[in-house]
Amino acid sequence: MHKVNLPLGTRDEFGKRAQRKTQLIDLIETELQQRNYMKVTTPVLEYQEVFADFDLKQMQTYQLLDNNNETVVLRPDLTLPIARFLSTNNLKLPQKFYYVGDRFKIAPPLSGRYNQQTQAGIEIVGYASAKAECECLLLINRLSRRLLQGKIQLELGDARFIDTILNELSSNQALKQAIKAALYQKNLPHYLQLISRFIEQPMFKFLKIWPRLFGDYQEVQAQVLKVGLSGQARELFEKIMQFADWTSQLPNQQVTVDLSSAPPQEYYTGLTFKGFMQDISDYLFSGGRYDQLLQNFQSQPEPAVGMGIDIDRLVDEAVISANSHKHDLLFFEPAQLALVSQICEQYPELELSLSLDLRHAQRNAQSLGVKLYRLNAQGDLEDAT
Amino acid sequence: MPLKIALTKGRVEKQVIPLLEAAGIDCSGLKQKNRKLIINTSDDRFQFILAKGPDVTTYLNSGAVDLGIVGSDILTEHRNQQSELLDLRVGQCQFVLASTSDFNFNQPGRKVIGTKYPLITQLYFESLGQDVEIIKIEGSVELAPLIGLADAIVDITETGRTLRENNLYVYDYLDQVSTRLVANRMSLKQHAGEIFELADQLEQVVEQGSASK
Repeated sequence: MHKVNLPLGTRDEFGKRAQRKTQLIDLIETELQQRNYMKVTTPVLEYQEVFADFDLKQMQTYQLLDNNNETVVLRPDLTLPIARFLSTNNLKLPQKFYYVGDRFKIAPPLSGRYNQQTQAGIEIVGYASAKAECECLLLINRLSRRLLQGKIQLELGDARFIDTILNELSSNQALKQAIKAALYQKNLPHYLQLISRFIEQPMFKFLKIWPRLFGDYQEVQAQVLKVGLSGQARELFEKIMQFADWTSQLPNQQVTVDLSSAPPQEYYTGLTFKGFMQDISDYLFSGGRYDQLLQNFQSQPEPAVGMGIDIDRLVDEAVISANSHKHDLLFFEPAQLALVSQICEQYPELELSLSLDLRHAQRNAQSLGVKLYRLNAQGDLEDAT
Repeated sequence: MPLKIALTKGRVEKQVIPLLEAAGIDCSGLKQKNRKLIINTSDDRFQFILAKGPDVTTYLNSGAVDLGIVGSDILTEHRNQQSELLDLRVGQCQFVLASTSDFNFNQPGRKVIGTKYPLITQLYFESLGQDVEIIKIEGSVELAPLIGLADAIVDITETGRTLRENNLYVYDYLDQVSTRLVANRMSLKQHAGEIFELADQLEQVVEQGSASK
């Protein structure tokens, strides 16, 4: 017997779920094509160097050696391959791209998480204006209303906010990293212990409530106004609030902020946005601005905003009815092939009955609860149920 | 919907119930649970799910529960990624490196270390610049140096009594351990008000407890 079990963290997809997934991807692709996005499909295999900027601390990649003994990986991320693609293909910018594909990250074994995940996403490259972020936020809002009854809550932040405050506070790199890690994880006992040394500083009032500064944007705004913020941090905060205000005016859109959340990846350089739903334990949408990304692949930086959509999560939550339409059957003989071809074009919903004889075909149709047709001598359909 | 709290059953459960009661939470169901594993408070604010420590982290990571009450030893060993809200200052104990009297910490060569906590052990020896062979042991770790399976052990101890009774000596003190209140990071975003209200009530109780000691 051959080994029949799957490698850990993988799964087969079939039946209604697979069909729903295809429908969902079709819907998203149609939406993006209608808005003039260009599709990009990159290979599943890339050289490891492409992902040098990717945070692999928590996740491992599948690595292989090519025939030159160079390490190639199954891509753990789909944005960096697009950056690699743009740097080598001389495409005219600005331009909007989209992708749909699988990414591979090895989750802790036996954790119930899958190592192969389908992601769709957009990359808006060459636009420095905030309108690029607006386009992403509009897309999340549209998909939320269309697929999730408008239940997506948006969470806004800025990848620079934490560093800006910590740089004003200290020049000790190790301490700043430790505070940042504690903030990202909202590890309050450790965070409070780390900031206790700044008790005399005017910023301490802010530091004390910082990990709790998340949730409804107006409530967070009121809390920040009480303790005060100054300098560049204040500018960034006002920018986040400005976006929150604009976005809250979209139909069925609840907007939150988180002033201490980790950006989706290290390479983010500006506004970040994530979309989540009540009682779902992960984000469904995640993105932001990363203006320096292309500089790692070419000499010229390009402003860029992008967003990923967790297709596997979305399939489980989206209101899409899988096509459960029953198909009537057509019984035929191989000699009627040319005629069958014409009938199939005329009636695309008709399914060919592959049963050996009419009696078996009738029994099959009866068990499926559908009609059975056959071709008469004139080549017309007649009921044979 | 009540907040779901995975509570480590056994010693942690016993030490945490008085804190929960002092914070105004009805624990009568928890105290008379018999063999039940899921217990709601009478006001339906909370639902306690009794589980083993490592499973508390699994439930937290999957989002099956909103909160977990579990030892920091398990959180570190399982590389906790969820939000740690409060040190409940119960279940306090200490990680130690222990062995028989003839153990020489500075002896050249690769040591063999027995432990229930391979990650914590690896991080400790890495911090010392030492490469060691780690053997994972599920219970009675103290046996490992006594029967010649390992040169030393890394384990937690509360009073040191079991070590002493087995003629083992402490050669180094590692991290301190205590019970923590942890929130699933997405639950925290979705139920911040209720979760912080509970954390703040418990913090007050913990502070009062420390002050009265």
